[in-house]
Amino acid sequence: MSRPAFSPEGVTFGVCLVTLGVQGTLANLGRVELLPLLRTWWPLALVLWGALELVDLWVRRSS
Amino acid sequence: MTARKIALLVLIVGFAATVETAWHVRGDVKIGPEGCRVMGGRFYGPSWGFEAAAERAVAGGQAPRLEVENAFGEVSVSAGAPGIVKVRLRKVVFLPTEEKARAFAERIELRLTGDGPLVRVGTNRDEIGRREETGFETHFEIEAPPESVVEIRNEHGRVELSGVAAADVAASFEGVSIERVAGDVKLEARHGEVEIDGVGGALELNSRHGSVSVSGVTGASKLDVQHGDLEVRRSAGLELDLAHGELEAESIGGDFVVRGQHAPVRGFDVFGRAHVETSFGDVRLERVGGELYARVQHGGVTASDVTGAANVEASHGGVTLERVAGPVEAVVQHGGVEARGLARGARVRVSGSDVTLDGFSGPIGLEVDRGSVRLAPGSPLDGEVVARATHGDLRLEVPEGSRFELEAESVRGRVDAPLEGLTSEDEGHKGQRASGRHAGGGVSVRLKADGDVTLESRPVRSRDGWAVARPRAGGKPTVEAPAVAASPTPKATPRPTPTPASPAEAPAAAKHPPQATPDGTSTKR
Amino acid sequence: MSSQSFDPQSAASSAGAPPALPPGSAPYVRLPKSPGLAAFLSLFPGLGQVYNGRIARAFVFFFAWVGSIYLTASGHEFPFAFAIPFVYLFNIIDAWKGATAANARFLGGRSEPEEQPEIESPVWGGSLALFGVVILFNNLGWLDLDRLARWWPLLLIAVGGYFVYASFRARKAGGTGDEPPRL
Repeated sequence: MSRPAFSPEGVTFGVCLVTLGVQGTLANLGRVELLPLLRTWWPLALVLWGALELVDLWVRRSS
Repeated sequence: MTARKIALLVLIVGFAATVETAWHVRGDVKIGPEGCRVMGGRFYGPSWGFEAAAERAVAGGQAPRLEVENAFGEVSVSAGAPGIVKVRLRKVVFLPTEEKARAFAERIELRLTGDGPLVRVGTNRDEIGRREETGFETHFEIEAPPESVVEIRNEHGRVELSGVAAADVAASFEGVSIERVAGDVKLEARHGEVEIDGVGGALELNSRHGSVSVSGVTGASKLDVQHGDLEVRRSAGLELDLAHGELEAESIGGDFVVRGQHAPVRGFDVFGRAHVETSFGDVRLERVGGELYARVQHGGVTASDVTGAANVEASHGGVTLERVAGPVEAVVQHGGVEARGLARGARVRVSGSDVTLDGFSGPIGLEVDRGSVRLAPGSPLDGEVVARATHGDLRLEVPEGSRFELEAESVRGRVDAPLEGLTSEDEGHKGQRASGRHAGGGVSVRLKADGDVTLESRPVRSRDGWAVARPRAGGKPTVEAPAVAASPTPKATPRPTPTPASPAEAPAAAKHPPQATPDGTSTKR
Repeated sequence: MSSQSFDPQSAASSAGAPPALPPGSAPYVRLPKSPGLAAFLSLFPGLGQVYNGRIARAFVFFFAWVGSIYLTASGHEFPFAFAIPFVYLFNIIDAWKGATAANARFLGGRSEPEEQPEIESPVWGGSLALFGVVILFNNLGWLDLDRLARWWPLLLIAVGGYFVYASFRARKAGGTGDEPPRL
């Protein structure tokens, strides 16, 4: 198989940081409640990472 | 699996755990949405208070029976006017705004039900609590006729009770205070301090995880206390199971019976017999009017002024006895015995330390392993003395006027008996012996020790100071009797099914609409 | 690192095949890893693997041990109480064997192995995504994890079944059938 197209961990980490930053900013502006939001939606990080791993595997197999 | 993947997985899971923890402690660290937070069974956060009241007349002729059921709030019952039960309910609602709190408080109903002499007081807390996450407290202040028999069931709230005929209370957290109950009291308490003062009948108490103070009980007290210290003053009789706590008892009018574990015991002025069993703690008893029995594992016994016989067993602790009027039996392992003023002799078996009997009368039987013995009778020998000490010396101080027949032996030491009529023999490797009749002979004295055996003469001592002191009366506990004869001790009843208030009660409730009493931005206890 | 003497005879007998000696080497060579030290360090789970340079394994052993203790203390004594001693002892043995293997590779003239190659199976990504979906659905109230948790032994059945299936497939393809199928 060829080398990986991208790093799923890197992308996941980056996306999580960006999302955390956006949510934190909105919370500071009083638009959202940060804690309940994080408590409910944090598993999306695992879903995103798993999906990226599958995409990475498919890209490498097809290339 | 690469280290990068592991690290990211740990990071995500750790972040989730942090978020979950922050959610659960958000009240304490002031993060996240406000509202009611519960910690340690108490509510925290902004709260608002509202009041409601009701009253119910009680038919005359029979003693009123009051049953109160509550949770998360205080219940206070005191003596009021005869023939009427007055109830005041303070509702404290933990919501951020007064409007929301008032709307919620209006859903909390004060329920005053029952018929005839029976009055039931409660709320619809169970129905509300099932559907809501809002925290609220319900505090009752009740005035009941003095002849009332009161039953209280309160969880997570303090109970205060005074001036009624009899009481049956079960409470947890925040403590219980019971005063001036004319009849019997039965109490089950968990995780809270208990204070009882003035019970005209018997007291039955079961307490866990809280200190207990009992005074002025006219009838017998039967207590079961664990994980808390206990103080009892002025009770007719005391029977007690105690674990992991200290006991101090004073002025017990009857028998004093203690079954303890990991419980030091101190008892003063016991008019009846004292029977104490405990472990990992010392026992100290003074002025016991009857017999004394004390058994301690890993602890010592100190007893003085015992009117009856004394039977003492101890291990890993010494025994100290002073002024015992009756015969003494003592068995001590890994400890010694020190006794003064034993009026009717003693039988003592000791291992691991010395024995000193000073100022005794009567027969003595003594076996000491790995210890020395000193015997100093208070008056001329009047009873048989048999003493054996292995790995130690033996010394007998003979008061003038004593008449006895001696057989003394020292296995590896010397026998020194320079008294008239006694002769010593040296048997070489078999040790030394002494025998003979002193002052013409009399009681038998047989002494044997591995070490030296010494007899010496001394003057007779005065018996002043050896008199056994009687228990001191601390004042008989009295409690005012109610105007009407009290009914028998209340028995536990099943939880009542809430019924709607009768039409007669509705107008009373309507007379006192909820009043908002803001408690400030936070109600922290 | 510890200093250990090298005896070609014992190395040959313990490794099964005589390793090729680097030309001109002295009879006594300083080996890179001490199995004894690795085992000793593993008394704190994971530290022996760190010493051996296998960081991922270190993480796995540490969190497996800590996780077993936590789950046992949380009331799930079965089966996690059994996992605690097993993981602990396995970690010590693995550290010893890792150090021994590193020394054998050194004697064979090979360097330390690289990190294991990227995972080539969809199981890893699929498991991550599935795990995330399940927890998310529980958080949203669409799934009751507590009720689902009682079916966890089905996982064991599934994994065991996969192993059996993979073994038969390997045997058909001419494999030894003795090696455990790799995920």
